[in-house]
Amino acid sequence: MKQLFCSFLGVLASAILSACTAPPIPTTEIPVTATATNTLIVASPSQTATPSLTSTSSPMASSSPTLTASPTLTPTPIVTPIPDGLPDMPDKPVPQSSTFQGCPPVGDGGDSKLNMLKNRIDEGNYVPVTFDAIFNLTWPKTTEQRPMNTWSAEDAAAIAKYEGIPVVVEGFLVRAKKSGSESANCHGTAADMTDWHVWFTKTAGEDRTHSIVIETTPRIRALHKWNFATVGQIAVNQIPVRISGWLFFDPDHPDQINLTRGTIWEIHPVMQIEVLQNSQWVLLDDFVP
Amino acid sequence: MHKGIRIYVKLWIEGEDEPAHNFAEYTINAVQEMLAIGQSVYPELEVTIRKIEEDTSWEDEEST
Repeated sequence: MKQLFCSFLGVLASAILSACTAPPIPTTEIPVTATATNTLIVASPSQTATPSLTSTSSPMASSSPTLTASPTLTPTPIVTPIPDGLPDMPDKPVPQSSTFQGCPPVGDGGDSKLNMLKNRIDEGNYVPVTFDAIFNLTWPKTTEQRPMNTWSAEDAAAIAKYEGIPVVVEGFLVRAKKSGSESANCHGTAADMTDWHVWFTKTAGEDRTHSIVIETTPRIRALHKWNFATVGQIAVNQIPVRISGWLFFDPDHPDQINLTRGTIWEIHPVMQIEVLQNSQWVLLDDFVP
Repeated sequence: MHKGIRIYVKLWIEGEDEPAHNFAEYTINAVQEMLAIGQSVYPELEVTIRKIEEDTSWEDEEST
């Protein structure tokens, strides 16, 4: 089942008949590369109830969770985190994806390049970064509400400098919502064909104007045992979480800044969610509230 | 008296379709055809379609 919201404006006494076609559908596809095994880097578990992000990280400790649902692991360069900033990663992993429930990585229309990024399934070496490092990122205004293939080379380079960095960030969930149909998911409406929008903040109790939107996608949720109600409980109970995923720029919703989000940079897709329980990071898959 | 009015309409369309088939393009074409057919019922009205596009602003509605 597919669904779509469509609005139209009719004007009487107008002499001009506008072209009424869908936005141009780019045909560019991002090439897929072979996968390789690599080491997953995650931040060391915080020992306090309120986790704080530091610039230091350690390889997986024995108490750290392991990624059990990884579809692939790309040969991401291991990067030393930069205090309060984002790493310089000129050679980013090439996004990988696959057809899911008949829906190709580019979706069924819209911005195919953007959809390919939303639908990536590859794992990375997630670099610990601070919430503010993402929240304070800027972007060229001329990219807003425009398909990626229409951006200027300068704008595209400015976004590409950060988009596609695999990050792991600590913070809190504010709220979660099951999204509507969209081209990235071939306008599917079934529960397993829509994203979850989750609002993520630096500290507990902040409203969404200070949030980063993080999104779980159907392809990734299929690899996990994530439960939507549990995510909601984590938000309500203000339990610290650690999010691993791909840094992503969504040009479509700048109008929502200071309303329902603080930035149009996102973590999308979310690849792993960990929850702080008894001073240990526990995979959301294994978390029992 | 000659009159004119600008009307916004929001539609919700759903149906079965192949996953990879461009549903936005398909449904927009369908709406155009529906309007064209309906126009013959009201020959005294001249309807000009200015814009038909997918509404992706559902995220905007989550604050309400």
